[in-house]
Amino acid sequence: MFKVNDTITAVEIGTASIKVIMGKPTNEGALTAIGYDETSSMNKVVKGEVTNVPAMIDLLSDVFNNIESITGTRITDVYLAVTGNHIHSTNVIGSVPITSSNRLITSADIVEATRNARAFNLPIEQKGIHTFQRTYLIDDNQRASNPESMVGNKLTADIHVIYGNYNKIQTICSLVDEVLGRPANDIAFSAIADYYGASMTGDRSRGLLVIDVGAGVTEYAVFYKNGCMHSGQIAVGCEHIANDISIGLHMPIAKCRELVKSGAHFHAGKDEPDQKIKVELSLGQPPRIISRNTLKTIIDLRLTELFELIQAELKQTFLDDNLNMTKLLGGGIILCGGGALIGGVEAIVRTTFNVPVKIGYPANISGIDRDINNPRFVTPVGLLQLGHQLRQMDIETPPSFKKAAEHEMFRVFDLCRRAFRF
Amino acid sequence: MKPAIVILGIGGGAGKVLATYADKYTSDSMRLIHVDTDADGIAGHDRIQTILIRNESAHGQGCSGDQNLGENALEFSRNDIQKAIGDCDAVLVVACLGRGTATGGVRVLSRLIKEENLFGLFFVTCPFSFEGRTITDAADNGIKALRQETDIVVAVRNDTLIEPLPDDRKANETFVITNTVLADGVRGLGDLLRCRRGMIPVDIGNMRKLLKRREAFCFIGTATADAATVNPGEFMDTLAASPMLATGKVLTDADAVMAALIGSDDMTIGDMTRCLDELNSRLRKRTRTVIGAHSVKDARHKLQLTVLAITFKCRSGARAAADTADEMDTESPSISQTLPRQPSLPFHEAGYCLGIFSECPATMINNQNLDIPTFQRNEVVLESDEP
Repeated sequence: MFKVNDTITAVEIGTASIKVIMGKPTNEGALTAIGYDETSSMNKVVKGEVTNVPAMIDLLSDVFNNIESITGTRITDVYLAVTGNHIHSTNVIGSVPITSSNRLITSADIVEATRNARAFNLPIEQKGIHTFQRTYLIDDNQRASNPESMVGNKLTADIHVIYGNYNKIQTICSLVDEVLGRPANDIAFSAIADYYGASMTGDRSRGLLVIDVGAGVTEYAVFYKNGCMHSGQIAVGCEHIANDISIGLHMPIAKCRELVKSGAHFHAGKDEPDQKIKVELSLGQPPRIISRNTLKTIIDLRLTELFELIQAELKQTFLDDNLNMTKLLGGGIILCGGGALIGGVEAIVRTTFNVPVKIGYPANISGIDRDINNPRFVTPVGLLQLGHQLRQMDIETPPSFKKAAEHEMFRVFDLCRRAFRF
Repeated sequence: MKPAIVILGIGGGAGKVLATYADKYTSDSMRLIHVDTDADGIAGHDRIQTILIRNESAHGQGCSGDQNLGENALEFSRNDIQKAIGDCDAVLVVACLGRGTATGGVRVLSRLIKEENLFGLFFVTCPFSFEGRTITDAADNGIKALRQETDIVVAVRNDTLIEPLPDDRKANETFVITNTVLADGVRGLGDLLRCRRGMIPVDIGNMRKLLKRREAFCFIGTATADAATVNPGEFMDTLAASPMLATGKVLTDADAVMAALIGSDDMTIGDMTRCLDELNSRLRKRTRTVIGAHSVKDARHKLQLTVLAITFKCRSGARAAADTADEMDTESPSISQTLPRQPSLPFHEAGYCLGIFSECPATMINNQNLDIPTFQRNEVVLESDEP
């Protein structure tokens, strides 16, 4: 009998780095990480979108080979994160009149209303990524998370659709296809993956905002009672902060990236407002002395603007839907991504939104070492969780012989392909 | 021979428009259907096929402004409507939104048209502002919901119909005029639909792209001239004097314009070129145009030009036009694309620096380029760091 490899591989092709984690289910049905690898993707990915495909294929091939040699396991099921300023979302509704004599809403009405909502046509150049239930409306005024057995004349299903540019999504998917010889099993918008990766640290039943401040793009999504109420992205990230410092202080961008990571601006106490930071430059140049206050001003301005933009977008969306934003964020905010490690970011978010803020770490996974236990790895861990859940839904029965044979055929083809580089 | 286009009016307001249309365009071959829940509102015209909905939701006495009742009533009568429109290939739905039957019913119609795989164009009007916030808000929400379900929604504000009229005009005459203007609009949109398969077909894909945006409001103008004696300048003056285009500089300020020129079989290429050139000369340089032309036998040696001027109220004109340009189909190469061009110098926004993002697509939000450092855009002066 063929043996089916049950590992799941999560791939995040980010602006700063490619992160790959391989995980497998434990006997108890949980998930454990068995290996990871990370390599820089700087200059090949801009604002979350791949700009140099051949170079990226080489990088991805190396990362996949590394993780296979680290874990001693072939890559099989791959889940891929997508992001970029082409990702958008919209809320659509579908309704159904309640025609039964007693006006009781049945599960068939709920299915029909949801089906009508899902009939929403995306433009041909766009590709749907996720759909989530937001809420149900009875007679256009009464909200219900489960309207079954309630009485009404009309039931409206409100769903949230996340979509992106077809060609751009295809470009990123083709990388995995090119390297492995088969497409990724599924894709997920980074903010949705973050929800699966870190949401256990927050109270999702009371509403939760997940913000992933990446290198090139900041993604966000609001979850309330297992539904996604809104999501979006702003193509601004840590690279913008480094760029601002580089322009403001006339310093090389590489040094500015180091400054952002080091959190040097944040360690100054209130009693030392004029404390200076000494920055060593390369090639025998004399060190620069910069003001910590200036550095903090540049970073704070950028971060405040970013979170205010997210807040304004959410306010507008919820205002349109007559929803109370404070209520929807009752569970607080979870900050993920490399930007969550910038000193002082929590305080800025707390001041902007006026709700509790936490830094999100990978949750619900065992076997992770210190390097992965970092907000930067929330997205790939979330992809693993998502893949694990999808597989549990999918594989209720053991794999058929045909499926196992197909799997083995792919594996042999993949081995030949990599050996002969075709 | 099956009619290619059916004009379907829903609700009392649309009934009046259809009746006016039937009276004015007697030789028109389009089939007219009127659906209503109120027996009093049914258009009593022998050219108009009527469907009166009498069920437990609406007992032939209207929906009393309740959109849910309107939607339910239309759902109950789906089969009748399906039977009535089933043998055509395009449906032009006319609805005066704000009240129950039309506002609730258009959504059912949009689903029905989609299921029947027909081409649907929705011509909807928003009520006069003096009718009150409840009605106008209901209409706005109706348009919003309709745009979720269908792409081509031509929305017209009734206020724009009475704006050019003098204050001392009698009220009853005014409403006759507005119905006539809307009937002309229906005729014009019918012409646009007819031009889908004309000599120069109207590009429906571009029409969809232009109209699917939320805050697109339209102004329709029509003009007719004798083909033998047409003077392009006077023809355009007549068009510009159409009631909906007469207020201010609607045509010249439009973000996008769709036009359909209908002529008889003997329409000459010279007439067509001169008329369309004259139209183009009256538009802004950045206004996007979708133009079609068609010859029909029933034109009787007349030239009829219909113009749909679209404005996007949500953004500033320049930005809207730029966005429109981005969204329009650019497959057909323009003359400027085929000629060799002088390489352009990189554009530097005065005083600003983009650093590592100088060659990336800009991140634009609220008309601000977020790739420019925040401190520069906010004009924050940084303290000098060197000792």
